Amino acid sequence: MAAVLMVGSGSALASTESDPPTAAPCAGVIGVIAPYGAGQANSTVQLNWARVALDQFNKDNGTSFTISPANVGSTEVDRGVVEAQRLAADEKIIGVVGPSSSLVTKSVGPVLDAAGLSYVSPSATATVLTEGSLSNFFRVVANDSVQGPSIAQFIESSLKPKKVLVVVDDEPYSIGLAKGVVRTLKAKGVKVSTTKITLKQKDMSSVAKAVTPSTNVLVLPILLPEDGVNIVNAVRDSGKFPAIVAGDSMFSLTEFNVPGAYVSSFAPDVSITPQGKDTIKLYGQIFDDLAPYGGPAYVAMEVVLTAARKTCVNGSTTRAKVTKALPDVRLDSSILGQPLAFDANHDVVDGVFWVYRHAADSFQPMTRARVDK
Amino acid sequence: MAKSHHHAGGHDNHMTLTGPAWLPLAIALILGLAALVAGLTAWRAASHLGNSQVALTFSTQSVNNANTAAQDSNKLVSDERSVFIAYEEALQQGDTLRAQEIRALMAPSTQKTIDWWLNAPASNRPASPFSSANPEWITPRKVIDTNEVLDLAEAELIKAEDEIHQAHSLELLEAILAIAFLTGGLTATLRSQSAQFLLLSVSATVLVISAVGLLVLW
Repeated sequence: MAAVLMVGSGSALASTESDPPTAAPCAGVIGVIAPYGAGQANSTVQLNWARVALDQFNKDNGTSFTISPANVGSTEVDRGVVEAQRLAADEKIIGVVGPSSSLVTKSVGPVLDAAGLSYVSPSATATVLTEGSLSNFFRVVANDSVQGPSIAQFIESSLKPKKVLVVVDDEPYSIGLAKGVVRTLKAKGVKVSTTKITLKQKDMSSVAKAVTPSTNVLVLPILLPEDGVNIVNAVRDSGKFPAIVAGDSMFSLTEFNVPGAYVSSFAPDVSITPQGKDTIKLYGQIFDDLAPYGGPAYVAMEVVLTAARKTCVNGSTTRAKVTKALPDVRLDSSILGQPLAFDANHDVVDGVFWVYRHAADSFQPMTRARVDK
Repeated sequence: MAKSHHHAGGHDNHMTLTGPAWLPLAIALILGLAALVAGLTAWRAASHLGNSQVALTFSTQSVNNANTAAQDSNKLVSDERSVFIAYEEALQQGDTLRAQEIRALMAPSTQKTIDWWLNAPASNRPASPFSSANPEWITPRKVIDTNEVLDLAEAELIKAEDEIHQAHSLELLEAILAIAFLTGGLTATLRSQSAQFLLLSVSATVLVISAVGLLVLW
């Protein structure tokens, strides 16, 4: 309301403590590095959510921020670098939402850092990204160091494990995640063994053999959903039916079509968070679709816009000011169901992973959906 | 009363109030206060009903506004899609005159939306101009604006319901107050002091409860 009044009456009204230091409507361009349906990058969910956040923020705050989209898929490293260079060269860009994946972030980050641009990812979870090499990188979801222990905690508390088999592939994602699962399970006194595969391994009978009669939980912290499906088929074909628990790379109803499996995700289902219900309704009205796990992109945009508005003077701000303000951005509540703040490494404070059960056509949150660190 | 003094046959059978000297004053005070509370209660009930009518009117108006905004928004979406298809066809056929005519029919926002898309590299643009990637696409904002009007209508409706509920509660209070009148009035007809005290106590209690209720429901 204050913002609306301020817009209507120019600079005559004094700012309140929470208001930006100017009464003029703020404007600026936010880069969004996310796929938007062209070329290989054919999912528009993150960009859609970021856009809903932008328009809602503008409405609520009387601002006029806009976007400059950069169409980059999760594996399109070269395109990502080109788009990052474009955004870096455009002085109107004051902050960035994205990139989507850790892979692209590793390559794009140095370009954006050099240009003094901050970038807030809704989904890049590799632990290494916040270990010091990227100065302006932020994320609104938990990192992978939380995921392994979270999966282990879920197994221990909900699946009554007798013996757990963990499958590892040769990707850093899998090695790191599996390590976290195994270490935590062992610390909890659970019997654990591991078995290795290579990416796109055709014959998964070695995994089926490693599943002993006492193995009642099979964990798949591996990169490719197709490998996950092949493993499950091989194990079930051998007449064994342990509970399946997978990492967030399997969080896809179509690519990892294994009903009954438990899958972790950094994103909560915003349709069941108190703050997310109205927003997902709005999303459905605009896009004729529901994408309940895209909420982090909404929050990432909210974070950048909050920093931009805070530092806005006479209707504009700069990327340097936004970068300086971003570490201190706090959201008292968010559609992800929890407040948001960053720690010293620019990781989200109290980040959590969630565990869902793969139903026939949806992911069902578990009773203990939220798995604490 | 005067008639009974001159009744043929002599004995005075008119009703006299027995009991302590302060009793008539107490009855008068209680009945008077009850009348005052009843009046105030009726006035507040009417006032709340009036407020509910105002809120209902606002709510209806807001719903109408929201419906109009939603219709405008839907029409914009439908119009811009069909006009874009015609425009693109004309451009592809090299019919610049027809393209210009179609362009002239476009809303300014539609022109901007389509221009952004046409100016983007064909290899790296969304399948349609009406995409979240297009900064000129205004549909999301239109939907948000429409929702705001609907929220306003809903808030007014809730306010109206609250007012009606309050008015009904006050009307109930009025009905309860009738007990105070009844018991207060009956007190004067009784000879037994204990019965008088009992009825007067009931009357006073109901009056106090009603007064408190009035304050709460004000």
